[in-house]
Amino acid sequence: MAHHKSIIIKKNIVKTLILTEKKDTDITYNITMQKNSKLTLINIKNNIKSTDHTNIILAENSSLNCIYISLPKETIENHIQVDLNGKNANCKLNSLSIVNKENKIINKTLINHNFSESTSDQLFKNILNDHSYSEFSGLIHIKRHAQKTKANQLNKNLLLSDTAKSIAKPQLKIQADNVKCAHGSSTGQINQDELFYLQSRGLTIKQAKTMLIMGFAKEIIDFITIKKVKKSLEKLL
Amino acid sequence: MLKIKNLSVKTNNIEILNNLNLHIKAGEIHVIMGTNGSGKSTLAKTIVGHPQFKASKGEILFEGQNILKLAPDKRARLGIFLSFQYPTEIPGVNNASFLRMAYNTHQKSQGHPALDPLEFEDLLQNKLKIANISEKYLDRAVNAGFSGGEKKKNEILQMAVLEPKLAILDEIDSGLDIDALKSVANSVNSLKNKNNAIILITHYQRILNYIKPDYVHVIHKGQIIKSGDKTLAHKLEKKGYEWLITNP
Repeated sequence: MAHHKSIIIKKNIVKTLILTEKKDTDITYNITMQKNSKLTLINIKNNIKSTDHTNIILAENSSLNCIYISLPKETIENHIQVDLNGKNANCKLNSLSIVNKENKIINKTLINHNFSESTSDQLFKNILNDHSYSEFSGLIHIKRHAQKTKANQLNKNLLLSDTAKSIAKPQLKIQADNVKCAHGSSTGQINQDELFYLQSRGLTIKQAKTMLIMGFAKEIIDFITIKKVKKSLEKLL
Repeated sequence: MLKIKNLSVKTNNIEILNNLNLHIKAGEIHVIMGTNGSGKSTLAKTIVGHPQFKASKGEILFEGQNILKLAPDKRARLGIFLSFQYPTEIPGVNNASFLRMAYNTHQKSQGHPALDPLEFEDLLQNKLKIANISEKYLDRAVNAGFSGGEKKKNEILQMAVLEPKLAILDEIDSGLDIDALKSVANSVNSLKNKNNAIILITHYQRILNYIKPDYVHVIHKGQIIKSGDKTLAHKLEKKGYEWLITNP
């Protein structure tokens, strides 16, 4: 059963929402952010399957900071649409997924820059083991009037096995002429020079690999500033 | 402490070390000099077990044990340390956590208790002074964005923490200005004692103004072609390697 939830972040309000789903989910969140509001949205999904849609509309001077942590059972799909509808609206989407066995993570984002001088930053990181699979498809659409937009999008995949697979489809659609945009994707295994360096200091290969994997994850975890959530997450990983 | 016997090493089917012999006792400082490509760094990397450099012949005995088949981390825990010519940058890995994990791994292998973060912080204070490196580098990712000099000091900090029996310093002097060179040399001198040994690999005589070696060896085409005391380094500085290569 699909659920719908509507959330309004009122003018000048600063809010943090922590969504930790315990059961399999199929929810659509519609979030409206009014002028000068700030929202930190932390979405942690551990050992569940889910297909969620999150649609967020940002008004002038509002700022959104989203952190998605996904450890799927079977498949997690995160569909995120952000509409930047006012000047100085800015959004950050950061995501870390750790995928094992034959599980799948699918992240689909659509960022609509509908007004001038808005910014968006996306960083999607996946750690893939066994026969797991990741898909990132992200479209940044900069509309004709959205001059002076700044948009970044990056997808990074760390493959821990030869049988894990990752697909990236970063896309840009730019209709304004004065914008700064960057997007990219990288996929690789554990860096052998880094591994050797740690081993040469006495760390076992297992310790060294764990340290490098945690290092890859840290960039996202560090975006979480709530100590309690951060600690429990580090424990989980 | 270290006995290298008839060591030959190939990488990508090219022989880089050819029947090399070297004996090092506790308390000694050995300098290895040679032109680019003579095999200096290969020797260093082979001793610590870099996977790209495999011995095709000979043996390396460390305190009587042939270490050639040991994994790099096991060699490190026996007390062998390499200060890298180009220390690897490791984004995301916190320098202090890495140092503590390395230290505790050594402690555990010697049957000593591990230190918790606070105890380790106390130990580090003294080590930071020895390495003459600012505390702020502890909170950063390992070597990430460090300048050349900071990277070398961070190598020395690791050496100070791990207290290896054998430290191989691969071009610890390259890319350093005079002040940093003096600082690094002072650190090395204060870490030196009668129970440990140092192999110092360098192109230049200038670091030997601060670190006094017991032996100087010259490597050419994968072999030690000349050994002597520190006066050999002075001669090389004046006459260049050609003099030795043409008149071994």
